[in-house]
Amino acid sequence: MSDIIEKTLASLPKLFSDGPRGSPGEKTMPQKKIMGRAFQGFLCSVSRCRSLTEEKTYITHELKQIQESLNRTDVSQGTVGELLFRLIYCHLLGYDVSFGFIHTIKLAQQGTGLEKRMGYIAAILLLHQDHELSLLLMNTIQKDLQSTNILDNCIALSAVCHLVQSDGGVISMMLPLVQKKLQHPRELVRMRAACCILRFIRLTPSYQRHLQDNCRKLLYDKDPGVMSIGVKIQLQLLKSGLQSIETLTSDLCSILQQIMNRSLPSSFEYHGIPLPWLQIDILRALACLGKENKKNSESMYPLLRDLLDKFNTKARMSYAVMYECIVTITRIVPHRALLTEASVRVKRFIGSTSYVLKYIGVKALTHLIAVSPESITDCQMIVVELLEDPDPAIQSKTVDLLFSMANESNVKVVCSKLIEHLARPRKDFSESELIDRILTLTEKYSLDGVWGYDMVLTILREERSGLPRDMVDRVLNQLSQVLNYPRDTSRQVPEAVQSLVKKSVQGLFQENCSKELVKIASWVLSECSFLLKNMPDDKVMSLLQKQFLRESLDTLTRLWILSCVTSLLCGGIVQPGVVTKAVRDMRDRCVSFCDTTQDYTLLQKLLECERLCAQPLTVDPQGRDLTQFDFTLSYLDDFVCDSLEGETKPYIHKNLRMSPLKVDPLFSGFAENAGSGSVASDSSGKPTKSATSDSKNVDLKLEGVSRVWGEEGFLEPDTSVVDSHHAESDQKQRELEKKQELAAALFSGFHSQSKSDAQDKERKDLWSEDVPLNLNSTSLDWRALSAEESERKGSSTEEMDRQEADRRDPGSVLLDLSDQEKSTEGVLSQDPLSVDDTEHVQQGHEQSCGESQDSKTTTHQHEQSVGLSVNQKGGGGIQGMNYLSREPPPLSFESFPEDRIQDSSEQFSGLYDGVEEEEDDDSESQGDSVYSLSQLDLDTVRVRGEVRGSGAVCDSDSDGGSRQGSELSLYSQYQVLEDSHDSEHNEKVS
Amino acid sequence: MQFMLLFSRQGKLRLQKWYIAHPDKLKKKITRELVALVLSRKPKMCSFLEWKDLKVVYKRYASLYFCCAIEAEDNELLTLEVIHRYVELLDKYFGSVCELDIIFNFEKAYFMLDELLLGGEVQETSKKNVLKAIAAQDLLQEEETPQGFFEDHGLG
Repeated sequence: MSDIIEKTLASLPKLFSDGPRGSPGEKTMPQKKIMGRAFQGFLCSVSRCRSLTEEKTYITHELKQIQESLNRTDVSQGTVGELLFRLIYCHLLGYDVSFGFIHTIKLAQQGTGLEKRMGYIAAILLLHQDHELSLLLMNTIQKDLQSTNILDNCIALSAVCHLVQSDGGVISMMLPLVQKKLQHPRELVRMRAACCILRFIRLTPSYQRHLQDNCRKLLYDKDPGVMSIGVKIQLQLLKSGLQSIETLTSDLCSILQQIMNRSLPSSFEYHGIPLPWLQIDILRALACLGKENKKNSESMYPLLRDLLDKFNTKARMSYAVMYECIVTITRIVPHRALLTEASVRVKRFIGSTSYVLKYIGVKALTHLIAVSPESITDCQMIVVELLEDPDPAIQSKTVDLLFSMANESNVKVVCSKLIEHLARPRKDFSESELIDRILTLTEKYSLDGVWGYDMVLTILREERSGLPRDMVDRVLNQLSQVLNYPRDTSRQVPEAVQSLVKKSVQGLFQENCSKELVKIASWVLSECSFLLKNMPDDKVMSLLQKQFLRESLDTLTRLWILSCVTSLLCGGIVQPGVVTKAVRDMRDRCVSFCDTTQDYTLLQKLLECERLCAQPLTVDPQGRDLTQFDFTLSYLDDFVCDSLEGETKPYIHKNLRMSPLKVDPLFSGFAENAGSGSVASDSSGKPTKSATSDSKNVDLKLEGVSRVWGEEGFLEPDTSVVDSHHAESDQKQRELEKKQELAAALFSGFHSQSKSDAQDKERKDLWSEDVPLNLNSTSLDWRALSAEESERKGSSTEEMDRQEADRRDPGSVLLDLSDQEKSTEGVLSQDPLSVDDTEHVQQGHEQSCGESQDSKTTTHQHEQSVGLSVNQKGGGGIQGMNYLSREPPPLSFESFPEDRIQDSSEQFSGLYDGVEEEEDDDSESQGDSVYSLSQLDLDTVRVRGEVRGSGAVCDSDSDGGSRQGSELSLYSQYQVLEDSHDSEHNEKVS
Repeated sequence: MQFMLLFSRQGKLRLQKWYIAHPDKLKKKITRELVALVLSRKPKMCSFLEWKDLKVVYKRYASLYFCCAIEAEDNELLTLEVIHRYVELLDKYFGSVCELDIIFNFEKAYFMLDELLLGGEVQETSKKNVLKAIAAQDLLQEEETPQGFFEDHGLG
């Protein structure tokens, strides 16, 4: 703020008089009442109403009066303003006050000074940008933007921010005026103008290029407030993907450096942290700039490191900045040492007792895990605990975390956890999102198809409302990949396919499965119908029939079932006689339960089925070739070549056809040559037409053409077709071989795991009961990630690694636990088992502590390399040590800022404490009905109202008195420290 | 930020400020459901919620709940601090603020909020500047020729 305002304030000391300190709750400022006594009376009488109906009658009556007086012409502007504020209050209570909208605009237009302001405020509150009336205000806004009064400018700019529509030419009309205000000498106006620019950019991104230069200048504004908005604008530009100027990174970095050096005015500090909002915006912008940009990222590494080191205060704001810093570190090109630092911070977030910090910690971990998956190894225990946290918000965040940390080795466990959450009765996180995630995971890590199908079947065991719309398609898409195995008679049907069919049949046995399951299962059955040969056909039919006759199914699902029946019939799996019987039965029942409106689609399909039974048309169920068509008509190639050799004219496209007269005799030879040349290229392209177009003189020679269609329909392909397919089938073979190789690779990996599958199952059961054991098993999975490189070397070493990891893991986990206990002072409930083991681990811990002490003295690069080499070794224990060595002094998370204030200086009886005290007091009365409580409240309101209204003489005194008595004081002595701080600053200034 | 609501423990709305355009009906519906949801939260839960497609941050100060709906990518801790800053400002201005102050001077509370947040963005991060701006407005309502006063000081 400029000196002028300082003077202004100095001339009005009563506005900001510090007041007598010490006595809590005393009014330090004279109340400025814009509204008269009548307004206060109105508020009092509203709050005095004892029931909703009473309030309603009173307010409807009042609204009528207000409307009458607003329509009169002899009311003063001050009164209009007051009436408008009454309207705002009624609006707040939920009454319709639309009749007053126009008056807000009128007042903004006609009023001056305070009245204008009231008009604007009312308009901003009651109207919104899409309201038709807000257009009427635009003229007034333009006028006020050109006014010389800065307060008029300010409020007009606020109105621009709130009320300017995104479409139409309003923005373009306002833009020049707002741009002009960016050069205003007063930062108050500049800042608002900058806010408007930000708003415009958000509403109509097309202005971005146009405004770029203006926005750039804002970054260099001498006022930190305006500069912060400038950074916000840059952030918005970055987010919308606009190419930024190269120097932006260095500019932002230098601003951040200045903030960290505290070279900006201290009035912008927030609880001892300089410009936290600006810091966060810069960090976000840096995250955008450094994303996949090595040069930019490298320039911010030292800065981010410094920033991380600086967080030692226990203010909550610093946690907010720290979180943002961690997110930035994960977004830019990764830097190992920084990530390690970040993971140490995250660990402490998560281990905190404060729910707020836990939540933020889980979020930060979700970001971190995407970049450095090994960072989670230290927090497994806490994550497992958080999954069962009583707070659903934290639970849902942990589910997010689980989703993002899924990999090939742990995906089964993750999915089973997700499904567990799906089964919970609470609807705190959306079902569809969760199902979508499970589906995505099964798609991403489809190990053998069977497991994914299992998951799907589990989800669909009951009817769900929140299924993703494309679920069935996605599942079928996935399944068709599994079913797409080589169809040779010599080869055995893969086990996976067999189990798919088995599971589908099992799924259909369920009485109340969802209709999606019926669809999917019947699709699988019809695709692999030949596998059902061993099943008695009447059993299959009765199963399908039972599903068909379920009341809750819709027509579409029934059609799916019927097409399954059809394909079973055509595949020769079920005897026509059985089907006929079943279909007749179904039709009878169908007629009976669709008695109101006949479902003709169904009836038609049933009839079709019945006809098919009469004349069964069997197709080889395994013969894929039958269903494949050769759209290039390559089997005609021989025919075409033959006929071309036999003086048949090549096909010429209609547009290219010329009458033979036009051909210059000179070029006739050329033309022929060119023609014969084009044949070769054309022959496979559109050979049919070449055969038919000139059919006048050629009598459709069919020697080379294989007969595919006969009188009875589609014929069995003979060998000649296969021959002509040779080239294609060769390619297919190669593809198949590739696929087989891939499958073999997949299965070999799977095989080595499947050994431990039996153990896995055991562990899975133990999951809920014995946490430490289970932790080992999960840590195995996670460890696999960090030991990824060693895994690549070969499966033989993998076994050894695993054994090693098995030996090490318990130690490392317990060690981490012990660290956790130290820093968080017993956040985790200690397990007796783990305590027993900690001792010998402690020794190792101390030993490596010494090591890390050494490494501390070495240079930064050295430290980094140590960290790296440790990672490669995959020894969790040593890694943990390494973290410890670089841990900054531990923050005690238990004392959250406000508590700390209370602890350290008794004079702070902050607001938060008030909350807790109140809670204790009111815990009994909370049982009472809500209304009686509000009654209590209203009584105090009345008392206060009377006291306030009782006269100007004793106003301030009695106010103070009543305040002291009242327990409602929100914020008792908080200002004491603030005041002293401010006054100190004032002294400095003066 | 999408909107800010202040309501009492009895669920009575004390202040509302919307930064996105919704029809009144929808606003009322959101308010009603959100108030019920927040009031049902236990004290030992964290002050963040994911509700429908909104992210909600709330904080209780004595008998008043301050409740903000923010964008998905916003920082929740920061929003808590915005709320806290607002309470600080109110406290500074009213002395020791209580629910009644906000009921009977809700226009002041709106002024203050407008100074702090503009269009849903934190505008003024300096507490002092906000209070100064409010003070300048207070001058307006002193009947003695505010316009002249500013011109005297070269502000006009």
